[in-house]
Amino acid sequence: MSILSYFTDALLRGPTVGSMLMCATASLIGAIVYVRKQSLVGEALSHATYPGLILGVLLYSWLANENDDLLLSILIMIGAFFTALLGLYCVNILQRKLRISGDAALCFVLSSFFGIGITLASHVQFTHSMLYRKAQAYLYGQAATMSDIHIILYGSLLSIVLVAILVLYKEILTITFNRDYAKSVGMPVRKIDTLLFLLTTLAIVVGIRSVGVVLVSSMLIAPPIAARQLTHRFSTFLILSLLIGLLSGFLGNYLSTELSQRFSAQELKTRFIFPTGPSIVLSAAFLCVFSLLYKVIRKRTHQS
Amino acid sequence: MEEPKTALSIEDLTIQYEKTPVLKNITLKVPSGYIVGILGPNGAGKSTLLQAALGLLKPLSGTIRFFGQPLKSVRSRIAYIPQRQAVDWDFPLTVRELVLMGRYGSLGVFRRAGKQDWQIADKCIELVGLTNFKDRQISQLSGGQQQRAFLARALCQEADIYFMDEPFTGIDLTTETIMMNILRELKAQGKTVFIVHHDLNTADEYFDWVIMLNGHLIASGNMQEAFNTQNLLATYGKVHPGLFP
Repeated sequence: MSILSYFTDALLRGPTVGSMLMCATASLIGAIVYVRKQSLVGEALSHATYPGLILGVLLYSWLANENDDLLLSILIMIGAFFTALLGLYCVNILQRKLRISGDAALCFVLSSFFGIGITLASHVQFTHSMLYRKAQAYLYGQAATMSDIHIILYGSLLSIVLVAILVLYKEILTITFNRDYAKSVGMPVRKIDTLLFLLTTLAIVVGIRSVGVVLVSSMLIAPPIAARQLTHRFSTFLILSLLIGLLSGFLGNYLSTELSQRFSAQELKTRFIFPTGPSIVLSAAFLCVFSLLYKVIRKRTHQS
Repeated sequence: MEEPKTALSIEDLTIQYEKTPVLKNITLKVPSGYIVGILGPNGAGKSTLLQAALGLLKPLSGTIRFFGQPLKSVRSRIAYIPQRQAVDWDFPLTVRELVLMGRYGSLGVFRRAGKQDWQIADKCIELVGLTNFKDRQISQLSGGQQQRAFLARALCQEADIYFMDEPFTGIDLTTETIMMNILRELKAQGKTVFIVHHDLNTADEYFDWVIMLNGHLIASGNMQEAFNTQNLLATYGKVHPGLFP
């Protein structure tokens, strides 16, 4: 299939463009998370969304009479956003009030929230088995069922993040690089911290739809690592990270479709399916490896 | 109206961490137009005093005023040069971007740096002698050059009061000379520079005024008057060998 058809075909357009927008959002926020040295926060928050998305499913089963996929998506997102924030709040309490080190607090919240999620899910499995299957799509991601509505949804979320970063560029840069200095010139450090946490949570909640709870944090990490190898300039770093996110989103969909088609021609035993979510993550990982190699080679040629 | 000559006045300042007091009942006045050394042994509260002055720490009690006004209304006239170790030098940032940061405070939220801001940044880079390095990533600078980049950022703020936290630790002679020349130039313009410092051997060469601390205020005064054996004994418990032959 031609590359262009991924943007025009009614069936392919939703997943491809939807994933690209989602990956762009995640990697742009991820770039900031990366320089703030909070990559583990992404991992903890993504796992903390799981109980929330199951709660979203339960809420849907009470509210909805007929099949309404959009309402389900929205309730799941709200639930996921809510428990992710709750997780963040718990991390804060553990760290500030109870003096538990950051990494321990994050890992604790990650595992316990995920545990609660699994427990809730196994309950829902029997009470609402149809809905359960839909919710499971969020665990490993299911880009293939995305539609034009998702393009609009993720497009607007990306715009929110973009506008926030454009408007607060100098504050974000200063606070991240030199917090005390930012305070000394009177920047609203606390408010921007809170905003960045909200945006991070938003990016994760958006991301779980296409790459899933388990893998979404890699979209926050891999593109920034790749971008960091290619530039020393903060603005370029953010832009490159966003572009690498876009590219991973496209490559993941493209490779998943093309490779799955090629290999499915065989008989059932040798069939090989490339799911979209992991393909996106692996594409990002490959781009990351390439840029790391590029850096090593450039260093070598500089020395000789 | 004539501007008050007092750059910094502190009244009955007490700061504590957890429940241990770090600084107790500090009261002092420093006139403007001096290079001021903040001296004292480790843990004497030098950096604490500086952080409180910059509003980074909340004091338990007491007031700090600049030119007779609270920090809030004079923030744009104050520049902070943190310790070099306070930041991650592997951050994706060029020297120019770092120095431009000095313009951000006066721009306020929502406004972006314009051509004029970049020009001021370039001028300050030139002043500290880093023009040839301005497009480098900040980790590719030597320690002294990094310190100069920090000074350039502060110069961009075009402030009246400068606070420097141990700027002379582990730097080369070139940097020391360049920095001292710039600080003396600032002083000639009537600006006030506060420097947290621990090398007593260079103190009387650098400073015109000293604040000597050891949990409480030992002395605050003219270099010639305050920097004497008695005060040094009270500050350090012993006189630094070789200081007064």
